Amino acid sequence: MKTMKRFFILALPVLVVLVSLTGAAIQQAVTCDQKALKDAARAKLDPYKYDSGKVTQFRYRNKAQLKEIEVPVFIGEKYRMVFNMEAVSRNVIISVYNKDKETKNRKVLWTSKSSEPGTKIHVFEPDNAKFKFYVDYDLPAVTDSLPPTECVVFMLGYK
Amino acid sequence: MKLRYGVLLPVLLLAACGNETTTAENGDTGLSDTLSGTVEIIETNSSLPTPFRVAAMFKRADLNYLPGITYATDKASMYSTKFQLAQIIGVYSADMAYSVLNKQTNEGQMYLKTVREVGNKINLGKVFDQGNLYERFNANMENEDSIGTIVADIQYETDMQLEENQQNELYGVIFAGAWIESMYIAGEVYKKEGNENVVQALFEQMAVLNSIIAELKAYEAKDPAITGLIAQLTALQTEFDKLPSVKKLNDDSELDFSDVKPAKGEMDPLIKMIGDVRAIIVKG
Repeated sequence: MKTMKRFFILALPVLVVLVSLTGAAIQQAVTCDQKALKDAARAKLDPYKYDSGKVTQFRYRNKAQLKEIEVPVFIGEKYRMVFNMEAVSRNVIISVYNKDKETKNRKVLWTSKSSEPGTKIHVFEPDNAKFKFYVDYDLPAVTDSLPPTECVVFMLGYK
Repeated sequence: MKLRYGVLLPVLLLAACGNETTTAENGDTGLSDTLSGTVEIIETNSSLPTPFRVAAMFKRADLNYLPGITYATDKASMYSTKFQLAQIIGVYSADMAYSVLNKQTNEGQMYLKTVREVGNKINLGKVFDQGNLYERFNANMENEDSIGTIVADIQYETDMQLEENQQNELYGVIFAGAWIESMYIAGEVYKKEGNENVVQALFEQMAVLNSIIAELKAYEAKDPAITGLIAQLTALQTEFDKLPSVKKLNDDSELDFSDVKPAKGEMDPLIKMIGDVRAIIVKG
């Protein structure tokens, strides 16, 4: 009986960790179904042809974060960008810039703040493609106990 | 005793998997933890175009077809590691695009077959089975518009497959192989024909190199061979940054690649270097 009790005392923290890790893994699978998110984004690309895509995983912290994607494009081409935020529950702001985060006086070409509230799939067609666009994800600071990881799908199409 | 291991094993496995996912997918290097301020800056990632699009941009610069400069398909059996195979898929994809865009149907079909065969060795063979892509590609090789659509479908399926196979590190490797091969072809054609539009296109294409390096760096830890490729491409970038035209570009943030024209002969050392990197890639 004593041995059993000792075993349960030892095993309890392990079980707690196991349950929370499994829960997080399930939550991750539910919130970031990459195939479904990509397929939905691709449907919004039409009539543009698929050029490239990027799934970005967010790991929220107790500090605001900035994550940037560099998007090479070809001069004079017509592009459409699609962002699928269906798996994002927090207030992540997307912005598209003409220069990278290190450059002073860069111009914001579009921001998700200009979309209708509640929009989950954002579409932006930039004018005058030059060589690169920079997509920034502004992640809020998170201190609650909700799942710390989510993802967004970015897709680029060309005509 | 058995029961205790039974409880611990899944925990350890989950913990191990969790670590791998965080490093590989999030690319969180830990570096950002050391940054101070109110906003943490996480690493930059890239979204790279298709090899076909790179070839199409050269075609727009009137890049002519020259027989014998692409890489022979009978060499495909020389490669065995996942890294080598990914690189060579890139090379053959660029050769296929160059052939198809120049209406070299037989050669294009040969490259398509090779890309599929090599792809099979790294679990990418399924890509061509989706929506009869292989058959559609073969049947439409002379129609550039249709081929553009089919190539976009192939690229989408390839990206999905890489994700599904958890082989995201190969995305940058394949593209690097394709990009170098397209640059190599353009350089070789320029050396023989002296078309200055091609030099301008080569110059503009160099804008993509930083993005390729950034993409490779994000997955460097997954395959030690990636480090060597990064070193070769970084050396190329360093050489490029030394060019007077690039210095001019870097000194004025208002200027873009299309605003600067390299002087005659300025790109020659770089074209040679691209040939050297291509030689290393095909050596395996």
